[in-house]
Amino acid sequence: MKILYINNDGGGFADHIDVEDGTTVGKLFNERVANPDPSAYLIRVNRQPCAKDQVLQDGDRISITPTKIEGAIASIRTVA
Amino acid sequence: MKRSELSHAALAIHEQLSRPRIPTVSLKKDGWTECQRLVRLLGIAEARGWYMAANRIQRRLLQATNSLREQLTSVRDALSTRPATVPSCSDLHADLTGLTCEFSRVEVDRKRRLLSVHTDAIAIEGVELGSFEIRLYWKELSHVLSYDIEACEPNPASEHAGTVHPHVQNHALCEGDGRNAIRAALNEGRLFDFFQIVNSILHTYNPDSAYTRIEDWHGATCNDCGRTMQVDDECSCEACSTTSCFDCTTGCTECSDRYCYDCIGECAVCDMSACTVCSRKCQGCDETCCESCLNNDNLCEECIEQENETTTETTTTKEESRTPNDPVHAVLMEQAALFA
Repeated sequence: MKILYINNDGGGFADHIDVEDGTTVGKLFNERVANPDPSAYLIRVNRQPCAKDQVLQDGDRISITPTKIEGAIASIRTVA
Repeated sequence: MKRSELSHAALAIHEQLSRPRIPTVSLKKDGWTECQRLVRLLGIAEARGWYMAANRIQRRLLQATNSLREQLTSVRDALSTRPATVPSCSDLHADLTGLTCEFSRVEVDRKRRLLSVHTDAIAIEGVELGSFEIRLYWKELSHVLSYDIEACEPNPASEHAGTVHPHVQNHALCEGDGRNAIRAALNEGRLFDFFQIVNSILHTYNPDSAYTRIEDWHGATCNDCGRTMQVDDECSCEACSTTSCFDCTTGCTECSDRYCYDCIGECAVCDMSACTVCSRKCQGCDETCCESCLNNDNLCEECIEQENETTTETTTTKEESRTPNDPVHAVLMEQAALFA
């Protein structure tokens, strides 16, 4: 089945992806996010808060947004 | 908010997004001028061996170049943004409905083509900044600066009334790590994501790139004594631009400009403070003196006296060594006549 996956970390891309039937929010999160700490992200399915074990449905829209995004120029941290 | 109101707003936004987009770009020259000024100051500091001052200027230059790069990146982003697929009316309506669940207050002003949300009250490291209104002008959705931030209960930094958050100045958000995600969300008309990202930035503090660091919120810290300063107590060193309190800076006796301890010296003759512009080395003793204590030949009072004494001694010695039979020079004869 196809879902719309939006990752607002970094580039903030949105893409339609194929996932297996029965995939839960938690499983997709662990597969897709490099540093999977759910407390550091706002995870929404169809723009609503969701449970970790919520099963994704065909056509769902899932967005993952970090709760902390630094209002800074990324290179400063590497230079300083 | 009424359901019909959301539907009308979704329709209006959809209509705006469906229009062909022409990127609007602007570039201020202030950033480049500031970089040039700091490069010049860094050169002066290095040439004179003021290592502490050079270090401070280097840090400021790093910030200035990063800010300039950010401006250039905005222009580049605006020019290179590809036209995205316009979201459907139902997607936009779902976004607006989602916002009403996410934020306590969502407002639509169709006359001003404005969609805004209110964040919850934000406090950073104990400093209460209040809640913020994130305002998106859908008339300018394709523009680089299509949104702004308004503090609802402003508690601005003491050094700048327009800094209402470490990363918000004059209503503009320093997007930092969120820049690309914000651009992507606006370009694709994902309003729900846009507001979430901006909200996350407002809830995050990065001391390395803040307009005003949170520890300096109620007044900057003096670079010399470390005391928190009131705005009218702040002095910027004319040489290295370091901010210090009035007591930790010294005024040049000649030009009255103020300098930090590292950038001002004392005249070896009168002991008064003199900046590097108003002081020179004495050609005789090599001591640094203020302009008032040097003559036109760059000699201090002591060296002038010494030179006069040497001249007198030489003349006397010559006169003593002369024998009665030596011929008397005509000029000396005239001088004798004058002194007689």
